[in-house]
Amino acid sequence: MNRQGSLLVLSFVGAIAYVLAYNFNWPVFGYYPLIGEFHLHAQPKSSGPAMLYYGWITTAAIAAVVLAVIVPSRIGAKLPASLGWIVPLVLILFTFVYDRHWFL
Amino acid sequence: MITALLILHALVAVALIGAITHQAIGAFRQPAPASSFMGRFAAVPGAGYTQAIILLFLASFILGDLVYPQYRLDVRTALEDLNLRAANGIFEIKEHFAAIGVFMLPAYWFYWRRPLAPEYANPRKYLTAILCFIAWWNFFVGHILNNIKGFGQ
Repeated sequence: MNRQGSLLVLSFVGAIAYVLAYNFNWPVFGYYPLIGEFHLHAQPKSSGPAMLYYGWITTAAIAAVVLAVIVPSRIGAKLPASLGWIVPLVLILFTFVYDRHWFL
Repeated sequence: MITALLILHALVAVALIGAITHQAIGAFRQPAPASSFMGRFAAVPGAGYTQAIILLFLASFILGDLVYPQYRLDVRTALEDLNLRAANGIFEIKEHFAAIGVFMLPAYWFYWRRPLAPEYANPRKYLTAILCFIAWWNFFVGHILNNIKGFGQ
C-alpha cells in the first residue's frame, strides 16, 4: 500500500504541533542537564536549568505519527500543493514574531 | 569530546549548506545553457541532492541536540550573565527552525521524488528555499555564538 501521502500529514502536523508545543509549553518531559536526568514534572531549582526542547519535539512527533497513521494516505496526497511551502513559511514568520521579545 | 562533536556539527552544516544552496538555486533556474559561473552553479540535477540533504540535515540536527545540554549549562548561562539577550534570542529561533526543518523533511522528500511531478514544482522550489534559509540561519547563529563563547574556554 502506498503511504506516501501520509508523509505530508507527518510533516505538516509535526511542524505545526512543534510550534504549538513551544508556544503553549507542552513538553512531554524536561531534561535537566546539570544532573543528567529526564523528568515528567518540574524539578526544584537545585536540579539546575530545565531543557524543554526535547520534550516539545517528542510532543510534536507523537502527534505527527498518530495523525499520519490515522489519516488515510489518499487524503494526505490530496492536500493542496501550496501547503508545502505556506505551512513552513507561516511557522517561520510566527517564530520571528514569537521571539521578538528577545530583541526589544 | 564535546568540542569534537561541535566541530563535526559545524562541518556537517557546511556540507549541508553547500548541497542545499546548489539545489535551491538550481530549482529556481530556468532551463538554459549554463554559460556563466552562476549558471553552471545552478545547472545541477537537483533531485540527486535530496537524500544527501536529508541525511546531512538529520545528522546536523542530532549533533546539535547532543551538544545542546553543554550549551545550556555553559554558554547560555554566560550569555544571561552578560545580559546578551539578542544572542539568546537568535539561538532560540535557531532551535525552533531546526525542529520545523526536520519535521518538513518528509514533505521535502515527497516533493523531490523522481520522476519530478510538475504539479509540485512550486512547493519543491519554495520549501527547498525555506530549508536553505534555515540551514544558513542556523549556521550563522551557531558561528556567532561560538565566537561569543566557544566551548572549552
